[in-house]
Amino acid sequence: MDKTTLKQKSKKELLNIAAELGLKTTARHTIDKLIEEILQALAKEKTPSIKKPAAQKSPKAAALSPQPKKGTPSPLPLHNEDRELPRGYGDTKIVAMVRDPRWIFAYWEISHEKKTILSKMGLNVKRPILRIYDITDVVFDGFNANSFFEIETNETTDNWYIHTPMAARTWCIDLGVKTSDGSFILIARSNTIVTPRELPSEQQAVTEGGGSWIPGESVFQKMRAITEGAFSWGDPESSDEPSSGNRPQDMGFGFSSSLSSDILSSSSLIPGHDCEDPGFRLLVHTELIVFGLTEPDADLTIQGKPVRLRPDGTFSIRFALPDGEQVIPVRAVSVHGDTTRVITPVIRRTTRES
Amino acid sequence: MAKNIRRYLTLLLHAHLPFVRHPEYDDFLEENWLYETITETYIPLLDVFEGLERDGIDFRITMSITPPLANMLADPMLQNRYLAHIHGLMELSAKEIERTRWMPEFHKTAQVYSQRFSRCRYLFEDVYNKNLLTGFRRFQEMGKLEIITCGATHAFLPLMDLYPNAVRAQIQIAKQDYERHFGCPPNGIWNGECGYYPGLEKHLEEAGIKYFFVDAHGILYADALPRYGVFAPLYCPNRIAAFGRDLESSRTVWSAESGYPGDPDYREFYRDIGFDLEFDYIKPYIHESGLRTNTGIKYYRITGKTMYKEPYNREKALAKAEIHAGDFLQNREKQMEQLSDLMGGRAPIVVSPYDAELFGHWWYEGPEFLDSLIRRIAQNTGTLELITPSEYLERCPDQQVAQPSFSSWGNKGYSEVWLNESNDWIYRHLHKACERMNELANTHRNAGGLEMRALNQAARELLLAQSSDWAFIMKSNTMVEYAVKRTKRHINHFTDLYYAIKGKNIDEDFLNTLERRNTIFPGIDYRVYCD
Repeated sequence: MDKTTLKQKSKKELLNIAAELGLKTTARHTIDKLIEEILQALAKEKTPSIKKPAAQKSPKAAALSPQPKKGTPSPLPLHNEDRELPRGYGDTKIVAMVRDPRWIFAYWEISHEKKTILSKMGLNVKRPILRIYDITDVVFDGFNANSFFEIETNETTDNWYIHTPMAARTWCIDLGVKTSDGSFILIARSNTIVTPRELPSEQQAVTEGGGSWIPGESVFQKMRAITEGAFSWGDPESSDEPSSGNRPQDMGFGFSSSLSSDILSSSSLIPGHDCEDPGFRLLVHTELIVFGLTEPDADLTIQGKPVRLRPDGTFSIRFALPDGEQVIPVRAVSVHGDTTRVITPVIRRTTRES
Repeated sequence: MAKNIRRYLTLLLHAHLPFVRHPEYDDFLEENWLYETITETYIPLLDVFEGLERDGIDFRITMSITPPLANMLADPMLQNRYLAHIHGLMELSAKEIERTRWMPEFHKTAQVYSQRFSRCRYLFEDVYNKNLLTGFRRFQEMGKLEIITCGATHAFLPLMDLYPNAVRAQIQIAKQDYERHFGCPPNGIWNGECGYYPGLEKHLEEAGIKYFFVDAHGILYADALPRYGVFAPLYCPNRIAAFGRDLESSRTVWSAESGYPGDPDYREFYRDIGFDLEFDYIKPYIHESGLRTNTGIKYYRITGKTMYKEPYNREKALAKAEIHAGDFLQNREKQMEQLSDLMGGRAPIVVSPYDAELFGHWWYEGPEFLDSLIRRIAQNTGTLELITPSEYLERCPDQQVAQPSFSSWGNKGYSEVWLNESNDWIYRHLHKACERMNELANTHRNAGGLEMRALNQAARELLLAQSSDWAFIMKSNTMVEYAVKRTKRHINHFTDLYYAIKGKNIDEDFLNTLERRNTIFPGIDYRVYCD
């Protein structure tokens, strides 16, 4: 589409084209102005055909997919690489994962076929049951768990966070459904997981050279205290009391609540400003551009400092302009040193606030 | 008596960025993560090492340079883009010297930036020939720096333990990649997010890795009571050593509340001229879309928890870094003093791991703090000595044997940062991809040509999807969209390759595009996923 073609179009047609290109135009635009803007927009397009403009993007989204510049190779198209991931993979399974000493995460999937079979059996697949077995120190055969508890889930979810009554135990989860008489029908059994300890071991230490070590209570307590930094080493800036969020808390060893806290991990470095609410903001700054022209081979200084001229002898310098008076002698000396000219703008900035 | 016992300090800098490389765009916002940290952290750290060498000061630093970071630092396209980036900053800082002429409170700082950017350019291009890895490697070869590795893409391995082949691949690929960059195998590893689960050590052993790190509770909750707390490593039953993080020294540096970096004299990170200055002036130096971004030129000091900020005073800030270095050393000595009493004849070791990017990028004066700390230790008449874990294990080979506990250094100490409502949806896909990669490798043991390339690229896509960074970003709530997009894309690429390979229907254009974009691990061999 070139200028001649556009010239033949009515203003309404031009406005439509402009809209398709995503240009912000109004009926007040003149025809010439519209054509000019359309041509500019077209020049920016990779291909000279009119395309549907991309949806308005947030700054973040724009940053994620900046438009390729003219003249750069466009990315080869990839098969729909940003499509949503599937909800499942046609499997029937349940997977257990460790979140922390007391919490397990489980996700599951029941294939369509399996659901159909279960439904045909008259089972309520809309209310899957999780049966969580404590199988610590047991070779689990499905019936010999130390204990178990159940959670009724629902059709709208396919994952669950499970709180367990004890840390440092071995767990296995059955996904199943209940028959009308309350018996449990297994759909899938999870992997086995071991939740972490949340307290120090009671096992005695054995060193490489043999011989065990019976920990004196006080020695371990002190060691622990040093580890936790409960002793104050005397921060020059702050008081000896660590701030509350930073202090080993409660009973036991309290590591989970204090030691690996947010402030000690890299998450504390994620940008996010921790300042007072600025309220309604208004900031006003001024800058001054001093620009002009002299002979291309002259020497130019502004306030005594040399300025590089452009090849055509023009120059421009930009200054942040604080309150007060600035006397700005601009001095040009000819290449042979025989002519000197000085022009001195004087600028005063005063700021009133009301 | 106790005065004669050696006391050891290991400073560990964990240098990591996720693999972000977008040849399909001229200007990609998230690539700035790399450029900013090159200018503010990696080059300044090398410059500190250079200065110490010049002044004949011996030192020991341990540094994990993760495979994604190493791959980016060695990548010619990113190197050239960085060079363009630093040239832009040199130009901007020159303009800033003019612009601030009538504002003496900023003028000096503008000059500091100009000098620093010029020096960055000089070191990057003229000294290291655009590849900073050569600089780090040189200090390793001098015996002053111990470079360790990390899982191939900084995966959080405790949430992958169901797929031992995939864990193994993370370790093996990291090891091979390390050898490519540094010419020898790695002695140690920093597992992504300091994540550990019992059993991980067998994969480390297979890769010839001798030690790794856990957070303090990984040691303290070991299956036997650790006799020396975190001040001595534990040997796993297979004799791979686990060093525990010291929390006291972590806190003084990490803590935003009470740590050194929050000092009012230090530079304020969040006031950047990319946001503060007039749009037309700053436009050439921010994102090409006009989105305002950090430039790295910041004129204010932290001042306090107010919007009002005082101008930054470089000399005062550096003087404060000196004070903090002295304080850090003094506190380690006091800590060691107490420990020596408790440990009888044993030499305590304090292990202080930090994100390398903390030094310089977030804490602008961090490299100067390190420099001062190292110089003070070198001149110190006390018994404190910097040491690398390898040297420590040579000197103190007898250690207690126990199984460390499942742990991480994330908030609350376990998996929650990477497994919560914001990111738990990724695992069914990551796990499925692990399972499928394993299946592909087992059923195509002798692939060649196009098929082999597709298999290798499938492995790359899986690895990139496994970066713990994506789950972390989803949780942290900044740039979430990018992290979600990256996760979906790599899984989708993987799935498409999986079906193409299985259906013997590989689209070479598609494969070419992926190979051109996701160039990580040029020497990868998918067979590492075989049983």
